[in-house]
Amino acid sequence: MTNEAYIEAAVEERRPTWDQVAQKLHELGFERGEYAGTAVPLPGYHLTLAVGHPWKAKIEEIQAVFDESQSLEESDLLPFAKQYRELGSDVECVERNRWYSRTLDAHVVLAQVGSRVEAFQAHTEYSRRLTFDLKTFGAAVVWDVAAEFRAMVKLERLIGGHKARQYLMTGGFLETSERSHVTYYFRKLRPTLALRPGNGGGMKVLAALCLHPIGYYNGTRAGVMVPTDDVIAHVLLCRGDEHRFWRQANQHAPWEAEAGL
Amino acid sequence: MSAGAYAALIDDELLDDGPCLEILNAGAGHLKITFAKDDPVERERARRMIVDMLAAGYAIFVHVKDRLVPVRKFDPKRDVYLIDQIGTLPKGLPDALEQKLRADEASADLKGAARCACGKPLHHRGRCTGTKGARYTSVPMASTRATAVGRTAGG
Repeated sequence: MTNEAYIEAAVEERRPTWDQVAQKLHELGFERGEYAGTAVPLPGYHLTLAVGHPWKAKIEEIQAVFDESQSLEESDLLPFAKQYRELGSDVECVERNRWYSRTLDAHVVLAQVGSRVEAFQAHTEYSRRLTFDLKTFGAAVVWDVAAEFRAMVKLERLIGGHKARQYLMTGGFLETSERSHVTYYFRKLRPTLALRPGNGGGMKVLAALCLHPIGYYNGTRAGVMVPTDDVIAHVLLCRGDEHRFWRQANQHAPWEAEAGL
Repeated sequence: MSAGAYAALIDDELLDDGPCLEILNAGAGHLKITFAKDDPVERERARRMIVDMLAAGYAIFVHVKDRLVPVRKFDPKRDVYLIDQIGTLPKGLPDALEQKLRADEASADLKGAARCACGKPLHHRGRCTGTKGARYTSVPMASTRATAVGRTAGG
């Protein structure tokens, strides 16, 4: 069914759209004290919520219904196990170790297959990067365009006209912390890069700091909030409580697909 | 949505930099809670929201002279945000506030009372309670712009 045909059928049958579902969930959340809104579970996407979120169990329950036919763990974590199953083998595959090989630009996985230990080359990093980007399109259905626009106005009030222009034109802007003298490269739909001047006159990446208020969709660049709200959260934490920003963010190495470089 | 519709979204409320409580919200981009000083219902609502948010682990930042300062506590009886004392604050506080706090520190020094982070004398006996007994600076809720960020998950 094409997208247009689905929308027509949805209108005829009075089925709710993702926009309506998301809006209702956020309203319900606000009434119950979740002032930052709540997360919208999506089929085919695994949602990770912030630790201590009171709706975590409920949302995971809904997510489990979506995940029933997806078998996410099998396809995401153990691709080699799937290959074995497709070949008709019923031996048990258990991951023993995993590391990143810069030479292969891929993760190498050591797995125990029956009584033997075998090495596998998991997805190459460029293909993981591409998957991250492509899956983000799907997660974007839960975002409200008006919310993104309001967030962009708010960001402009926060960072000023020059940086806001850079953000609008390139999707990112730079800011140097007075406290630590670390330069932060804030980016839309990507983790913030912490930079320091390197030896050759260029900049070296200390870490890619990934953080989303409320939660995020695994294997995508998407958070629960609209992209610019994620950037605002990074800016606020970085300016107001830099230590907390580093503590709460996941710190990715620059060569990992999660770093978005 | 057309460009014309975008323009319609820029309302006065969005551009107003007056005292308020802003919350980054997944549904609306961000919410703006304003409270009239003489409206007890609005004040009570804002008070309850701030207490709830701090208890739930939200990060709230107050805008003090173009600086962002994290709120450590909230005093609902006095309607004030409590932020770190002067020594640990970034530069650029309002002049009156800075002068008052510096005067407080100077009078404490005259009495020979250099303080530990826990509020006791610098070389005190017994267990140090860290910053639990630390002094805070009060910032009135009704005259400050604050922004709240929900609980965060590392991505």
